[in-house]
Amino acid sequence: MRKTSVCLILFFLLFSIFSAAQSRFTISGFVRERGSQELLPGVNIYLPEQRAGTTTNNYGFYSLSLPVGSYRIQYSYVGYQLVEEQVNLNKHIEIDVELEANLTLSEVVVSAEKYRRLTESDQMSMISLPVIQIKNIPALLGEKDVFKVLQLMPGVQKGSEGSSGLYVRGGCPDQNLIILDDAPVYNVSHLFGFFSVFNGDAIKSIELTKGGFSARHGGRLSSVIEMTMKDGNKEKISGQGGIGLISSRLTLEGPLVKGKSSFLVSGRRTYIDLLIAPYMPQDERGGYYFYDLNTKLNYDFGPKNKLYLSGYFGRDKFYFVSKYSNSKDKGALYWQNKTGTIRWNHLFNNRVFSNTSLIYSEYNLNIYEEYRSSNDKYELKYTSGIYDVGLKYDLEYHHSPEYSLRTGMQSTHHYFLPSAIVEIDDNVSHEFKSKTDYTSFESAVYVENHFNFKNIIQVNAGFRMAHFIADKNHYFSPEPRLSVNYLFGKNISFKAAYSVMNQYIHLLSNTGIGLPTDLWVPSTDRIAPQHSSQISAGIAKELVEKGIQVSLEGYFKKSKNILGYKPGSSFLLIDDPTEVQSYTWQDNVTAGRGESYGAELLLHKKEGRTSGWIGYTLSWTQLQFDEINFGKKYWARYDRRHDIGIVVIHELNKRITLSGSWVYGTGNAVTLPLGSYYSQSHDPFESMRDSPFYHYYSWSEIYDYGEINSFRMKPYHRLDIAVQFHKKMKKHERIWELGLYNAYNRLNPFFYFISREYDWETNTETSKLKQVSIFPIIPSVTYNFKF
Amino acid sequence: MKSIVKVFLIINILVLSACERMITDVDIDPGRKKLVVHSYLYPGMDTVKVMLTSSLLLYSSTELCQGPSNNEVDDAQIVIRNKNIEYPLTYNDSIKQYISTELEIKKGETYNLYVKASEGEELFASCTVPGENPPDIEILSIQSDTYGGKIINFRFRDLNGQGHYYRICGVYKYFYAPEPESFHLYSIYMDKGEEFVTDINKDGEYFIYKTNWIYLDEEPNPVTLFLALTDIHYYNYHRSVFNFDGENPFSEPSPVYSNIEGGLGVFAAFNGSTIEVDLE
Repeated sequence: MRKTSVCLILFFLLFSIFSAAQSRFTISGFVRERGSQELLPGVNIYLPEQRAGTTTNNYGFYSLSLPVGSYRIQYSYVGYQLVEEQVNLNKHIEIDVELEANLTLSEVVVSAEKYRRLTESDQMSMISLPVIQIKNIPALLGEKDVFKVLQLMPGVQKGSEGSSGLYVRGGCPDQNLIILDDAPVYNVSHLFGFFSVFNGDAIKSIELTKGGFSARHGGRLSSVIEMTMKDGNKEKISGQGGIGLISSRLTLEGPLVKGKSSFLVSGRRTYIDLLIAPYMPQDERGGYYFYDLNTKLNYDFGPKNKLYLSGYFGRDKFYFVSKYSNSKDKGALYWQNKTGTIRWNHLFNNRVFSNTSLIYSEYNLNIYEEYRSSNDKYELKYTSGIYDVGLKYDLEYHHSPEYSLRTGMQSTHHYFLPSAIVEIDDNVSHEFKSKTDYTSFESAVYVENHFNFKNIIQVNAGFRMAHFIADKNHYFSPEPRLSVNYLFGKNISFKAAYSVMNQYIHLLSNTGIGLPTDLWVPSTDRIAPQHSSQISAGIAKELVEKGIQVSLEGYFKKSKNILGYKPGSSFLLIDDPTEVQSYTWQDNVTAGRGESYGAELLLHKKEGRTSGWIGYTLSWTQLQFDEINFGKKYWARYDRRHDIGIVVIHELNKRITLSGSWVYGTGNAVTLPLGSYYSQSHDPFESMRDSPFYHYYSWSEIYDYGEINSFRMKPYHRLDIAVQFHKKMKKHERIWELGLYNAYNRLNPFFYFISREYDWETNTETSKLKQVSIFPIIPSVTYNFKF
Repeated sequence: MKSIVKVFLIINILVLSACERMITDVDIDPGRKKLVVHSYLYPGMDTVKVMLTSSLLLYSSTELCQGPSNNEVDDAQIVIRNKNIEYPLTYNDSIKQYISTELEIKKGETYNLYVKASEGEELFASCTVPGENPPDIEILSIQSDTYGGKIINFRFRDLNGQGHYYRICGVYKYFYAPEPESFHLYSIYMDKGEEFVTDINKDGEYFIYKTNWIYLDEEPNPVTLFLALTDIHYYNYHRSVFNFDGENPFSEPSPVYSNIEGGLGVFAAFNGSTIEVDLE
């Protein structure tokens, strides 16, 4: 042990001395989009002769420390033209680069170093989606949806038909950390999950990480979905928008101070309620709408300081108003997200970059009803939600292409409000107030060390220490993170990763669909944090000439303290919300374990006249709870043995783009009744009853269920196709898109139920298992424009 | 909650629009019937009773009017064993149950139930009668209103030690004719307090109850409250029946508890007492 420690210390000393011995200078700068000046994250910066390189961070910054010499540097990014710079390095240099966007995916020369080389990255299990591909993939009712596209990727399952929830490597939707400009978003569903809250027009980049998590991320077990909003065009006013069947959207961006400061405002709203309002009766109105609003302001103080303000506001609302001759009754059910971040980038020098973020995020569900008449007043208000205020600090130190360090801290104050009720009824002089709330603190510090040995071996060795305070309990969670990449042939590498994750906040949902009544609750002294450890390993290969990335990965994930619901418990408020105080959620949940394993294959072509991907997942997910299924292991509802996603986008010519996607998934595992019987409760007052009619006291027909989730629904498969007609006018571009969702009208299962049919002639009753499908073939037309 | 009802009506309209073409049959095996046992033991009972019925097949056609009275199984062999002595039960056609008047039920004793059906199925269950007497009910106060309605506030204290289960309920008589036997029994609903409770995290504490308004006739008409110390099978079974909801296709299934090996239903025990409360 002592010998090993001495060797390690000597090794690091020698390494440092060796590094210091050579004269090194730094090439650093920012990479932007030509025209808009939009900073570009994830741009690949590569030195082909040295086989070394780096990528820009989330804020478009890069730094490379190299010995004195002459270098050819290539800057490349999906959707943009390659830029090459020749540099004689004998002092520190700042090179800011502008990349020209391709107008179409095919306007590109598929060159050797088009995108970040998968085989030379220490990050595994990560999918980076080009936003331009998202816009070309056909969608339900023409509504482009980031989350629906992520569901087409291997390792990501969707829940039920139409839902935008993500089940990543056997994890539930609450185990995904969804970040928009550093702010977590708690409810990502509009209209009960049929659409997600993310407007693709405002998004610049999306990265989904399923495993091999870096130490800077934590707090959720299964995935990190990091989205960055666009900054706004710093050169001129521009915009885009669209009119669809369900909603319309408009994005405006432009400079406040040319070249220095810009704004972006992007909004989307449904309008079915506005359209039908004139046709509703005068004294009774009602409807539904949702809207999203993304806003961003940024100011570039110079190369060393930049400030960003981002905000997201979204709401779904059902409402009604009834007017009578001397009274008025109105009410609404609405749920909303609000996020806001202030971020400050600071460059200490050409090697050290920092970001400080102040973050606010809230999600709440509200129900209210108000009745007023000449002599009466009734009011009911119910609120449930989660409110976060957080501070985050990240530091990057780019020592050399061989080594870089990332470190930082994060602290969040969570305020949970599972329920708050006020009920006032003047008629019976009744006033009722009740509130259940919790406060907790979640913090973490982390360090990541990125090593690169001659571009053959890359290692990311990280550690995160997380802390959560709940009631009087302190939870400390050490989380080691390690990932390794080994390039062992031409364009082929082997990857492996290990990560430990903990989750301190939980989403309680008793239903299979994303209802807004889902509750976010903290770990407490009775409910321990969820915990998982995952190992993954795989092979990645670049077919460089064809521009195709191939990856084959296997994973094994074990989770404990995951929450399930005791049979019969419910959090769905149908009746009087004043009874909700008896729903003590801690008594209704139980903790258990999960085990997921599988293999994922992905062939991804990000650019070219024909682009897209083929993804296949083979996976198993089992759960075990002492209080469910008699303690025996059972399949998770979303355990789908086979999952296939095929997406093809083909540019026929400059004006016409065809696209199609086909998905297949093994059916969900569900619990079906095997039979029914009559229950006979005990009658304590039997001796007081003389009537024979009371012989069968309090009987009721109940179901005999088999083992939990032992029945498979029918497989799910669906084909979507779309065609886009582009036309460039003088000052703007327009695109008509015609789409067909579920093109061959497959009746996919949404849910099953038992129906009873009675035949009075034969005196028989027939019970049948019926399947309900909700989306047949659905055409759509959308008009999009850009200026 | 009108707004909630309207919200879900809207959901139903959205989801079920054009529903006829979107609903299809699913092929599934009907399965086989199972035997269902219901039996409750308490100390001092003069006749031990066991009800044995058959479950119903789903996904098949059956005769209509399949109420509980059409599914009795009357040709099985049923035996209850206690301290190595077997007590066979015989089928009584008038009450449609298997009975024994020989078997004496005592506090703290364990009883094992064996059922053998004519087609060969065998069932087994076991329960232990609680060894303690239930705690006393303490009446705290009786509130009145100007219309003659009454509310009873009462409580009881959990017995010392963990692992106690209780059931609390009450009834009152509603006379529809002058004759003493012409009454219906109406259940008393509790505004505060639950019918089935356990002392987990509440050892030694008071359980406090408040009834809903009770309106009685003018004649002296006491209400009857029942408090039982039950075994875990009694508690789990009744709570799961109470919570059963088979109609929501989106919620997790709520299986009803059973301690019958090889079958369904429950074989449970309790030790209960009733008190009459005079509301005048």
